[in-house]
Amino acid sequence: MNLQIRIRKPLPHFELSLDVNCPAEAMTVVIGPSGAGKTTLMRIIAGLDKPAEGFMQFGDEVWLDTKLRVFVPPQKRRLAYVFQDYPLFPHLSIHDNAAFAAGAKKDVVQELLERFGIGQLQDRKPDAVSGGERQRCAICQALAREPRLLLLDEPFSALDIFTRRALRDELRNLKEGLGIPVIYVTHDVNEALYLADGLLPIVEGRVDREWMQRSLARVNAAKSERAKAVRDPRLSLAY
Amino acid sequence: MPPTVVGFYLLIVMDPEGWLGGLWKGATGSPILFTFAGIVIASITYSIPFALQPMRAAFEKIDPRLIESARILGLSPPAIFLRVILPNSRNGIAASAILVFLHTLGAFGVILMVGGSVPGQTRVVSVAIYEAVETLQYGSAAMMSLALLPICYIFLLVVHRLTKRSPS
Repeated sequence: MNLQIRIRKPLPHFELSLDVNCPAEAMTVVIGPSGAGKTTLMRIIAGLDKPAEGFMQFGDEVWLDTKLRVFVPPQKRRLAYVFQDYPLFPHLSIHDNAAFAAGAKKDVVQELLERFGIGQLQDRKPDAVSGGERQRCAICQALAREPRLLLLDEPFSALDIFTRRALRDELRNLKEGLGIPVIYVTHDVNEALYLADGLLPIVEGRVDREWMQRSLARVNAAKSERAKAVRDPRLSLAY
Repeated sequence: MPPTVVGFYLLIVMDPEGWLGGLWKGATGSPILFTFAGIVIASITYSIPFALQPMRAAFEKIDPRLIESARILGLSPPAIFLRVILPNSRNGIAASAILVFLHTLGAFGVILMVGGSVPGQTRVVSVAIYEAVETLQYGSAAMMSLALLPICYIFLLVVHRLTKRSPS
């Protein structure tokens, strides 16, 4: 099922104005500088924020239509949303957090915990594990509820580079088997290129393909710098 | 509000002619004034504001993002209250219960107005101490006061513990 979005929402410094379509069974990466309206877009898709006007349809289900005053609340959308520093429920163990919305499917939860390498931590409380492990648990919690749409808003940005790479790889492997649309927000061009099936560059609330091309050019330029750096030991310290 | 003022209005309401007293008499066949049930109702009315304040503080301390993720995970508002808000404000609720217990232990004016001082029925410790002093029985007043001191101190200690260790 694909997601159609046509929304307008005034923000303090600019207006978020988008008309986009996220295809089914593909990872759309939303990329743009900080403060471009990426998170606002995700919150609108999740149903946590409302646009001033707009229309949103998932498959044949209308989630939002400001003209007809249609608004499906977040708990009825059956999606999952993981963001940076995602708060787990502090009173529940890692296992119970992952199983929070999984219903009776105990083995699915167990399988996910093992897959993300936190099976041995399942009896601990969130404050007794590391940030990376908490974020792994957040992904498990999201997937265990068998969402129809997965929203990931810089889910790995607060983690160290090694954990981030490991989780990114795991996500890329996972993507094929999921069969649902995934929307992934990042400001990292390399990460976007690594994960994306489709790119959606957003700058100041609007789709801006030119910005994407400039960023790509910068990344390519940096690549040759990096190649030079291998030969130049002093510059290599920077990498 | 002065406890005697609360007590006075409760006295009016709980009088067999008053609406609550009349209702109670209709239901049980006996008046509610100067009974144990009467002072329980009076204490609840008198103490509820003191229970709400710490409970509200505990609810407000919960990360609003937790409630948002619970909504996205498909929970209805009552389920969010039961599965997210209540378990994460247990300490605050316990602290509020103890504070109300201590507050009720110290209730004097309200109890005296509504309950009188019927031995074995509505004579509470605070009233009993007062009466002992009035009748110059300093010995028994001292014993009762001394017995209350450690009880109050221990409960205050527990409240302090509960409110200090906030779940992160």
